[in-house]
Amino acid sequence: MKLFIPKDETFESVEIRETQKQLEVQIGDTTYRVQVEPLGAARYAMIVNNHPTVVDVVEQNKRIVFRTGNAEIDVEVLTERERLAREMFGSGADAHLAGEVRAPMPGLILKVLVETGDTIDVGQPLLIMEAMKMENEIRSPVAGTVKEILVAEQHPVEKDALLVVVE
Amino acid sequence: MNATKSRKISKILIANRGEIAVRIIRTCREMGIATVAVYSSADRVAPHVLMADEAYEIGPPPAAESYLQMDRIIEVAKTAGADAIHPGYGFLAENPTFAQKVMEAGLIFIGPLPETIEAMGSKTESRRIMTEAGVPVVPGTWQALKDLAQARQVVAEIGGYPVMLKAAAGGGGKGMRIVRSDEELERALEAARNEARKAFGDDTVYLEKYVENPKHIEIQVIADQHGTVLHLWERDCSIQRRHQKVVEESPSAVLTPEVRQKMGETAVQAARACNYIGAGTVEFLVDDQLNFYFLEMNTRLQVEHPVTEMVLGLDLVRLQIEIAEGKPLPLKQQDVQARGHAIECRIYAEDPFANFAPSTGKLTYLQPPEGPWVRVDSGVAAHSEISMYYDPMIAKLIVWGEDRSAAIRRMARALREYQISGVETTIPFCLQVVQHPEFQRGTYTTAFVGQHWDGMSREVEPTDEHKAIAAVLRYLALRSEKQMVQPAGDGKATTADSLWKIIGRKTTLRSR
Repeated sequence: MKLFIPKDETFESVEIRETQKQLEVQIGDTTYRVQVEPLGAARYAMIVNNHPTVVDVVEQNKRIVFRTGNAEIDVEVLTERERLAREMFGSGADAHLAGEVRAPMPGLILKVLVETGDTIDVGQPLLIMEAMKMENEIRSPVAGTVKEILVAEQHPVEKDALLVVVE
Repeated sequence: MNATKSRKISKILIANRGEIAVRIIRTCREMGIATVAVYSSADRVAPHVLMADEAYEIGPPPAAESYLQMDRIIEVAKTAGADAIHPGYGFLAENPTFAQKVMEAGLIFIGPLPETIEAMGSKTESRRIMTEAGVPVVPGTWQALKDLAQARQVVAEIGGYPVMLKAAAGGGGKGMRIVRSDEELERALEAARNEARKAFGDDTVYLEKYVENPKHIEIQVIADQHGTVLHLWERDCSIQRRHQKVVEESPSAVLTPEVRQKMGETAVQAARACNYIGAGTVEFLVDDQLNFYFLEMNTRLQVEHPVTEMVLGLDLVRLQIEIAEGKPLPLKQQDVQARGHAIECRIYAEDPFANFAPSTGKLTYLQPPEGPWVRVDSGVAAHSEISMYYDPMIAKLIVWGEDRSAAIRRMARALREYQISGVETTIPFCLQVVQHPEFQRGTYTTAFVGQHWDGMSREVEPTDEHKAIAAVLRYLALRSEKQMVQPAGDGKATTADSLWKIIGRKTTLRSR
């Protein structure tokens, strides 16, 4: 099977073959002989050209994210069809709004310091949030106007929950 | 503690949870003492519960409704027929009312007298006692701050900013704020008060001169009921983040033998000044000239006590229990000799790559380090749920080495072995700390983390080997997708196919 890893504007091609004992992965001139044993809970033991590695999988899709030791690797691995689609339409990078203030951790909103319509500066505290018994100020990453406040005081929030929109 | 009576302890209730409850149970087991655990409904399968001989549920998850319920805990102790209550650290450990109630219930409180806890628990009162006893203290107010105007006046009296606001009932960095200018004072005062009220139920805040970039070095003391007070040398706890200790070691790399000796003697003086009984810790700030100032006295077993145990070969919990039974200390000051070097890393369920945000969830995998001179005091097991209800510290890793550099290398080795999945932990951060040249020199101060940690990225540039692994992972995912649409037994399966099918089936498709 042929797979493709985006590199700069082009793609690096990777060829995978199965043998009875292992997978053989060809990248450029190098062949990696990979033995894989699942360890459960999204962990694998892999022996890559006699180098033993334990891999903790975070995401296993088009985007592959895994950890080994204290390093985190994040690469895209595309099929032939996905590569063609990518060439035609571009990556369509996920639009991320700079003014979306999200919860950096799970916690409890203690105080809302701004109101909708307020004009604010970069770094201005918007909310006070309690997590693990510590009070944390949530500051605005951008200057602008408060467009929407999605939480109220004494509101518990999950990590990454949208709190305030600044425009 | 019933100061004059001697009484055999055969059953102890541990009024705590997590690693410290487990650690206390272990010593009790070794001494042949039966153990009683208490737990909130969030902790039904926690290690401290499953390890104990008896366990009693005392309330819902919030600590205020369970682990802080004094009367309920004492009731359980009486029902279970316990002789004594060990409070661990945190929760009720430094609550004089609790110690008093335990005594009034006819039980032994494993700790100092309620009046000692009360005096040392009030940072203003403790400073007064220490000053009178000739122990050097940091300049500041001894009174609780009434309002902003009074705070401003105290700042002026002690020579201006920077100053430190502290909760009188505080500990663990809660209710503490460094203030560097007058503009920051009002908000800091309010935040410190709020935190203090939430964490300790008491919003009394005081203020003192902030000694810039000090070392935080503490002396372990131990005192029996017969007037013997010993110091058990020092622990250097200067690696702190937001006033929370992260790495501790003993001995300190910077103290001269003279200063070390003087600090030990001063700590004994401090313990005598407050009629101390049991295990306690006298904390000092040490400046770059090795001047030291009394900071506070912790009237309990410290989180970092294993560091002392490792270099001295003593079991502090055992000594606590024997002292509570009325036995005299089994050793003299000259017998207290440190051997080699010990380091402790606290493992928090926090993400060092995301500004140490608390990380909650289920531990999907847990493999603590093993091997020579490695000790893990942990309060979690595989499949434990890390919740927001309790302290994020989930374990302590302690190593011993014949000298400091051997201990550092051993710590790095053990940290690399430590595997936890499911929640983020501070293991990578600890590894960076112990490998840092300034840590290795030993000259680090409490400013270390702020100076050297500007966040770091876990992500690394993938090598070709990493790409090969990524390709294999995608391949396995595609294979298992394919199997969902293609029924098995299409006649084309080979031996190799079936091998990889097995793996493919086991591959869970994961996406954030």
